[in-house]
Amino acid sequence: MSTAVEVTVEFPLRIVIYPAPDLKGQWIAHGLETDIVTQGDSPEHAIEMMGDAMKTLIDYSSRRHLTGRQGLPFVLRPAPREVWDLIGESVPSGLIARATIARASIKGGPSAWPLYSFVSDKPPAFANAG
Amino acid sequence: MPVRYPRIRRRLKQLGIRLNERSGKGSHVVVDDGKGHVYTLPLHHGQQTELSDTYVRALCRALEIDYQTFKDGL
Repeated sequence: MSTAVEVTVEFPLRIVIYPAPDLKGQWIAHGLETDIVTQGDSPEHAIEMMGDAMKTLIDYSSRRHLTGRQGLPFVLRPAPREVWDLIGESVPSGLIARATIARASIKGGPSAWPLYSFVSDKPPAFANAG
Repeated sequence: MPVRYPRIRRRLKQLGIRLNERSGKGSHVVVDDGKGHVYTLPLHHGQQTELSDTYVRALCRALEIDYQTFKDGL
């Protein structure tokens, strides 16, 4: 006799924070799995801004039933390799922000996505090129 | 080179891409090209917000438009 077991695995979306190469005093928050980019006045503000960006995007897409081929109200699209390369030298800053659906309209989907952030004191290599 | 928000907004409108400025209560507006590409634009300093070239490149990737073409029209 076999038993069916349903397992749900949730993982945080990771973001890398680094200084904007062309704007003094601005910090970039870059989603590794989403390629979503936003800015803030400090690393902490950039993390807050990413939480706000995700919430805004999720709310907008949910209200319009816009789900991509992955069944999510945002697209999973990897950031450029140079951004991933920063993780090895970055400081994990813990689970700080959480994006939540304002109107749960995605049947069976999770209602919140935790964000796990890393802070780098230098920008990706591509940002220095021209 | 960073770009101020009004120039980005004008360029997006030239390309027929909508900006939903009342979409959120937070510090972002939603960019929606009506073809399934939806992205956010940070507006933490209002109309004076300067957007890094890193952001502009990411915006172009998300909307699947050519970065150089986008920049040339700014």
